Amino acid sequence: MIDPERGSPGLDSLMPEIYDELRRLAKRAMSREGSGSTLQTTALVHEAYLRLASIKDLEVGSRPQFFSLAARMMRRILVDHARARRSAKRGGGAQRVTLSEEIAGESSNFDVLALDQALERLAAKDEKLVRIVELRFIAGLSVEETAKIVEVSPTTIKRESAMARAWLFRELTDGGARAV
Amino acid sequence: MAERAPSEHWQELKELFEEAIEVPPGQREKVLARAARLDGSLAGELKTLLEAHDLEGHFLEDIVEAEGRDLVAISPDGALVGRRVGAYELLAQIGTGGMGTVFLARRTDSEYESRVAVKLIRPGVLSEEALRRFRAERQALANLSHAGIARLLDGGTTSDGLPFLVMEYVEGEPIDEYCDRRNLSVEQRLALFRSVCDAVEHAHRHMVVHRDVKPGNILVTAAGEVKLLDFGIAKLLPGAEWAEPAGLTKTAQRAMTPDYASPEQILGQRVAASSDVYSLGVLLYRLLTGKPPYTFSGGRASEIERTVCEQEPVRPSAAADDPARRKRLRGDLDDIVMQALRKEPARRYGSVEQLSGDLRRHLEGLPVRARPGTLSYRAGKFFRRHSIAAASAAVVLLVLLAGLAATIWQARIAMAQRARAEERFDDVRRLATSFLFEFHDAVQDLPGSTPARKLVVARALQYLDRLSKEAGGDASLKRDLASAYQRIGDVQGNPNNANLGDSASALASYRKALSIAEPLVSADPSDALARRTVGVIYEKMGDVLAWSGSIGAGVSAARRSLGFFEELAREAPQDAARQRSLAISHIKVGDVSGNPSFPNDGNPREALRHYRASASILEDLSGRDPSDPRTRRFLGVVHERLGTVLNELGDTAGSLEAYRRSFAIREALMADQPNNTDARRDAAIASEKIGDVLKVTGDRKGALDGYSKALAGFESLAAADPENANAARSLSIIQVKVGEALAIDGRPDEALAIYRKALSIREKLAAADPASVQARRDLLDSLTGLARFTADRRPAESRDYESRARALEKTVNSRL
Repeated sequence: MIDPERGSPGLDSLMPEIYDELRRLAKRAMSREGSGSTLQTTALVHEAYLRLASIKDLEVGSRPQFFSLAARMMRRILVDHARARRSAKRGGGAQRVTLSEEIAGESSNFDVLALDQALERLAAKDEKLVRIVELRFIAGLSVEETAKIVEVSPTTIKRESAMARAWLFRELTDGGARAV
Repeated sequence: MAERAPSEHWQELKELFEEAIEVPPGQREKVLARAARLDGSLAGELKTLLEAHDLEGHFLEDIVEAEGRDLVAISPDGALVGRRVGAYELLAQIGTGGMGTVFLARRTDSEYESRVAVKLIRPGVLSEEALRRFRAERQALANLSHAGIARLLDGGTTSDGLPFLVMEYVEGEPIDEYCDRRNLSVEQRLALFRSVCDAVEHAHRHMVVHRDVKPGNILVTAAGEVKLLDFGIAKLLPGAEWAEPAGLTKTAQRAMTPDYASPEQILGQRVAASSDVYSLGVLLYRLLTGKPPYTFSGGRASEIERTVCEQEPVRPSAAADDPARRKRLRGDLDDIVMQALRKEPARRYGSVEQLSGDLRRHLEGLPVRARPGTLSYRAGKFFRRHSIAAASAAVVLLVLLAGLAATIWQARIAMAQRARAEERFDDVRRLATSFLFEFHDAVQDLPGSTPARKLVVARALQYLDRLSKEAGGDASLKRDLASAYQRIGDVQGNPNNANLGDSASALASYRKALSIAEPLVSADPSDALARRTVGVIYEKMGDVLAWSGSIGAGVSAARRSLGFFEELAREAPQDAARQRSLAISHIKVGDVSGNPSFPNDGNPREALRHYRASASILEDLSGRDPSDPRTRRFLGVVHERLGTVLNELGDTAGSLEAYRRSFAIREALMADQPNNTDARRDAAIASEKIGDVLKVTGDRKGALDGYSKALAGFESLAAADPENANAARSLSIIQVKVGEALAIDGRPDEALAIYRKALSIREKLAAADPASVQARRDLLDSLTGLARFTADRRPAESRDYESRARALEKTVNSRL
């Protein structure tokens, strides 16, 4: 899933730790807050960076790579969570859903799983757009932060974001997106 | 036009898009027009992207935020956390469902420090049904006491009067995750699975059927102990002291989920212990292969039902990814799993203990009792019945497929003979793939051939799956593989050819085909054959999607297909075959976009656009070579299609002109090729359609003329092939239409004569095929029509038709 050329080998080896750290922070957030709050993922990614940067003594220059990886891991965590939730709906834990309810629930195009699949398809066309989406909209970084990480101008980030969003929206609303 | 790689196309699209969103709204058209000049498909895509851009709102943020909130937050029921229920304090919510919510809780009287699980009825869903189900669960659990089953500790009523259950709190992870995370060996998995069997067997001995055996309900603790949870839809068997109230069963059955449900549960039939045997079989399949035996690509209840109740799962050894694992599963374990998964309860293991016992025998190296699968058994029966052609064909096929397997193996081990092995490999591949379809077509009309056809398809898929893993980097082999998967998909469920009616599997095969062919295109965008292959796969997908009810998806697949054919045609403007392919592709997109004769997207204007594009390509081809029969044939088709959508759009004059053009083309073709029955039939159909349009416009003579020409055509077709029931039926339909036109024209005697002719054909057809509901319906239509038509002037005759119609009506209805 991770482009091997993207991060230095040293940072790639951190991937499992980043994943675990993000999940741990998400769990802590659950016991701390008890109810929904503002965009969760942004806080998680930043907090994970601060913690791992001090523990692992990351170089300052590795920050962009770290965020690229963390954004990708955040996407994976959301997908795993959505899968777990879906399987919970299928009866893991105590959830019961009738056949018809399940069908209704599954036909929703606007969920993380559908988004993830659409991003996979987008990656085949334009890997950079996927990276921008992960950084901007999944890790919730600002235009400027994203621009620094991707090493293009903020204007480019805005334009490319618009293209990615339109393309993804069309994929998700187009009935064919999931089937083909 | 020069060749363009997909990446250039994408780059152009991006640049145009980014420009279009920055110009003032009125200027967008200019950008679009420029795109259209560059390339038509680019403009179309740009347009849809701009529409999406205008509509999208905050969808991306919404998706991420919703999931993010769920990730870190407790659901609204969390409000109960901190409350006391009886002697328990609710600490955290650990599960939620349609009826109940489960909390982690602790006793407040500090007698025990231990944690417990408390299950409450969710406040919003309190009903008689919920209360009954709650009591049923409590009753079931009270009967059981087993180390492998989460114990019922207590129960009571909250201060609000709601019942609650207190159960042993199990900290663990679902059995499938537990096995995968620890990378357990097959032996370790079997050992764990056998402890699950012990727990289920204990429940059965106490007359409790769990009915919801699946990984989410089977946790493994850190100590490696298995715990069966959640008897929420369990059922007490007859003979138990506690009887289940009527009405509970049905709801409870519907409440289970399809992945692990037995066919009888899916069908809502009576469920016994054998249903748990089946679910255990699914679980074992999952633990051994890492995959479920079935995947539901759609989600419609009918599809789930068909999959679970009819589709034979791939044997575990063929489903596993790891070659060593495949080898380990082949034989005993395949047989054991398949025996547990039999569709008919009576043919499964008679008890969980027998299943577990067979696994023990396997582990101890003793012979197992499971016998090989049902499909070969049923197919074998078929081959014995149709021993001559079909069986020899099938035997040849199976020998070929076996040879194929051997060849793969040989290719791998015998490096010295590699070149020769690959040569043979190639031959066998070709034979196997084309032979499959010949075999399928040869036997499809034989009664009872379905299991044999299914077997052949299943086997072919297995071998193709193996072959794809061996294909390496050989592009031509991969292209052939993709085509073979596509053709398997056609046989599985493409409505445009004889098929097994399994659209879900067809789509799965098409997806496999794409997963092989699309990378070829990415790797070498100039590979025209690969692009053609991808185009064909999308086209076929479009067929299946549209006919199986996913119109939007069908349209977009057909459009994707069109994109490939457009590109191919653009690259070689002089290549008549490519131009014709493009024309056909436009027809396909037009059909699903808005042709009322097909499942369609309700957009006849779009259909019109595509048909016109197709017609213009074909006219161009016809200008180059006016005699080419294929071009003429499709010209006839596209003008007929144009007639249909123009009529739909209310353009009667345009519609008539198109139908007349179609008729003229087909008539000319027929004159050149007197033996071309397709042309003859097509011409008759065009003429019939002319009659249909004119009839509506009130042009009696014109309608009668159109129908009469059609009648002549259908008469000669029926005379040429007297055994052909379809030809006879078509003739009777046009006879009725001619009769109606004659009656409207004030010629009742002629009308009556031809109505009687139609009746006599339909009588013969119904007698020839007593099982056909269609034939009896047609006959019934004729009788009631004649009864009405003769009511005034020939009352005796009318009464006769009437009484025959009444008698027939009963059989039609009772047989439906």
